[in-house]
Amino acid sequence: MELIELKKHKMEDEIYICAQCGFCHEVCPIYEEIGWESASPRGKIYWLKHILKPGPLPVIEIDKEFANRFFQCTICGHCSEVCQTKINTPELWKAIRTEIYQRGLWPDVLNELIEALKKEKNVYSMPNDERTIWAMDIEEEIRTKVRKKAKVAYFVGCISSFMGRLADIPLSTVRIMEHAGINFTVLGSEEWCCGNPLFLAGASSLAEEIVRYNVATLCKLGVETLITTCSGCYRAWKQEYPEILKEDLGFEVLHVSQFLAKLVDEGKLKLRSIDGVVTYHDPCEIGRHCNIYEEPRKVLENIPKIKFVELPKTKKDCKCCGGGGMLKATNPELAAKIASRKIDETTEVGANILTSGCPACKLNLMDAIFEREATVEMLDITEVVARALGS
Amino acid sequence: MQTLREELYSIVGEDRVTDNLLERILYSHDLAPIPPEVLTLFKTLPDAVVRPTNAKEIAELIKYARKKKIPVIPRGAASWAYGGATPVKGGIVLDLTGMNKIIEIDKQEMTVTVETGINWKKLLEELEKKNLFFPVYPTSAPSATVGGWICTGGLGIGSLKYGQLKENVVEIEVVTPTGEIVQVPNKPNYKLDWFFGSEGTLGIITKATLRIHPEPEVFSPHAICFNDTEQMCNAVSKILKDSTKIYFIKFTDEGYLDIRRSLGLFAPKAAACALFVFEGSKKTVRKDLEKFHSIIKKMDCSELDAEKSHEEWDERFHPMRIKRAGPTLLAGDVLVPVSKLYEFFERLWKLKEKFNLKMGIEGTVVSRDSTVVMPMFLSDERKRWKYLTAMPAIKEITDLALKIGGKPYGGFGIWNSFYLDKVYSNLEIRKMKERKKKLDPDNIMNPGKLYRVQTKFRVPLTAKTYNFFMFLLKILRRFD
Repeated sequence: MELIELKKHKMEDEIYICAQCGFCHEVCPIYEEIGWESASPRGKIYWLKHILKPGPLPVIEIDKEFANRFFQCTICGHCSEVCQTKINTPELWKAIRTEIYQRGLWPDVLNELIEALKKEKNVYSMPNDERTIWAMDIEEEIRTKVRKKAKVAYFVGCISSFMGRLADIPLSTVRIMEHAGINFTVLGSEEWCCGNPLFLAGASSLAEEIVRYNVATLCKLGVETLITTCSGCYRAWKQEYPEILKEDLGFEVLHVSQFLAKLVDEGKLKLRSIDGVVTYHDPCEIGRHCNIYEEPRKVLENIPKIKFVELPKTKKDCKCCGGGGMLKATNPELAAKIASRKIDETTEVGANILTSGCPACKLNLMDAIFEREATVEMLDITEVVARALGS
Repeated sequence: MQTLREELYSIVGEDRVTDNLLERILYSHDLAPIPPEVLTLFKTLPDAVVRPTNAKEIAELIKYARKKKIPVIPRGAASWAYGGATPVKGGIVLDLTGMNKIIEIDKQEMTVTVETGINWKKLLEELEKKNLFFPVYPTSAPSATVGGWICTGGLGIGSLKYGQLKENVVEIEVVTPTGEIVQVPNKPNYKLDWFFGSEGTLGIITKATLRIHPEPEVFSPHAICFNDTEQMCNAVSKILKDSTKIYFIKFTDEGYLDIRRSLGLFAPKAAACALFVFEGSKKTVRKDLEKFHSIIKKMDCSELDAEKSHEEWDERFHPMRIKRAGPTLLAGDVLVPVSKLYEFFERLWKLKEKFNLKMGIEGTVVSRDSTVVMPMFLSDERKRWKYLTAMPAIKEITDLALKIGGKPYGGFGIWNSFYLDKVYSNLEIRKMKERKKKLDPDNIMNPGKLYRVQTKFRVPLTAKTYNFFMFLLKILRRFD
């Protein structure tokens, strides 16, 4: 059988390059939970090889069950990190998800997502006019920012825009910008989903309109620097957009942690000490995928007298929280179990504030904290900084 | 009548039993890509896979399998390439990787007791957290399990200084082929020695107690580039003779470095490279290094800086990096006398030319007088004919080793079992077979390999048949 998308993405060789050594087992969050070979990256690659060349063993069908297994993955890229033959597994997983999409075998929840994106330009099927619902308490202030000419734009992202529980992330970001005297704009109802769910789910072919629209909207405002608080938005803007446009965006894209580190360097943040022992979870999409490790630590370490401790596994070795790769949408129970392990790690190092740089991580980890009634406080890095500003 | 799956459910519960085809396919192989023509000789697809969590469950499973005469195949990380975890006539594969806990670290007795499904790297990391150290482990440590390595011999990193794995193991727990749980060597009439290299044929090792050490003060790797391979071989011999405490020696030839370079990986310009690693107290390592450098400085070679040397040490787990150039990597794996190392290199290079192979050689010295040599060559399993006719090269590598007093290394499984009589005397083989018969009267534990390869057609595959087919393929290769 042929796997057309693998060929198109030039990933077919990778299937044979895989040494089947199993080094990926130890780091895969899905395998850690499920334990069967089929949950491991190596197992999934072996299936693909078997489909291409089954030999004397029975043929396996690409059906719904098979398809679902490939969505038991957070695309965290940890397997690629430890791979002896350096297979770009995130690209491989996306390619096979594209194959699954093309064959009409997507999990139903993803079809709903496409509908939401088509209709409302956000993943929650909310009226896009309500994009600034997070700013309810600072409505007047935000109104002066929406679609104004400015060198700096803040791309809020769907999760932080619409999930009330995450509103503190954009609110903190605004608070920090104001403290530092930054003139910035937000797109409000003209912000469309960055398209990352489509990239992760293997439907990047549907994202071109979104990409062109978002870039054009920002260019019209004369933006020179785009800031995202979402690691998924950041990765999409940084890696997927130029790929689709086949050219540079024309403005720089910064994750908020990079922007904050810059403000620290420029002496624009007057930070005060905060209570508690803080640890930092590296979100996969800015960490392993984009190598942003030092900036968030620099920001945290600049909070006077901060008690900062590292998790047992950090930076490129940091374990995924379970919130990525569409896992929370397709396999919520699995995502919750993985997040629970991060809470164990946090208490193991004696921290009571777990921080990260991604609303998807925050959401998934908050759920685990709630579920376990743990005493850990989950804060985005922007919230930690805003707290240190004294707000 | 209950199905196999249902009967297994009643022993271990539904979550940990499967007969799903998707899953079984993944348990039908290890890391070697076997040509389909060869695969047809065996029933590699298991009938069921079970993930037990303790020895009691395993004992029940074995009793059941014995009653029904179903083969039981224990499986660790399946990171071996000889087919040890590959079924040859179906059966129940036991995936033991779920049994991966550290049971106890005894700092008084300086031992660690583990469930054998734990992988070596995890164990080393956990010990390191407590400033402890286990000195012997395989290059496949990031996945290979403790149990897997006990079963496949246990000769690897650290063996040069600390001996084989068996010299560092105090006790093991075994579920015997009759379903009894025994502690060895405490159990009368059982010897610890039997189980090292037993390849899952004498029972399932469920626990192991290993002798641990305080973490060494210093780890000092030194990567040396030689302008001449013979010099490197001489250097290795001399260092082994003069330096009493060396922990690890690994070497590579120019072919290996060339393949690495072609992939953009670090590879110094040299005829051969070797990595020498010393560990211990600051004082002893300083002394060892003085001796080491006095030998090295007389040679036509240069030392890489400390950072690069440490990177080379970190690369010890990644001999298969070069597989990317394949995409398939075939390899011989042999043990040869250190004194014959250069002669072996020369013979391998001739073979490389004869077979027109893209070959790179890597090796690890495992004792004062013997070294593992792994000549790896690139191939492409998608080109079926070419791939099949590349197989005789593996046999030739082993034959070359035998000619200079070496032998196949790392066990037998399916693919090396044809060499059993080259490694053991007839008396030893007879004893091994008698032991197998006594311990496993129904021959349910990992049958059809090691002692005698059994095909699914109930016909054994003998060394004679194997040699004949390899000869045939060698001839056919000419018509390629």
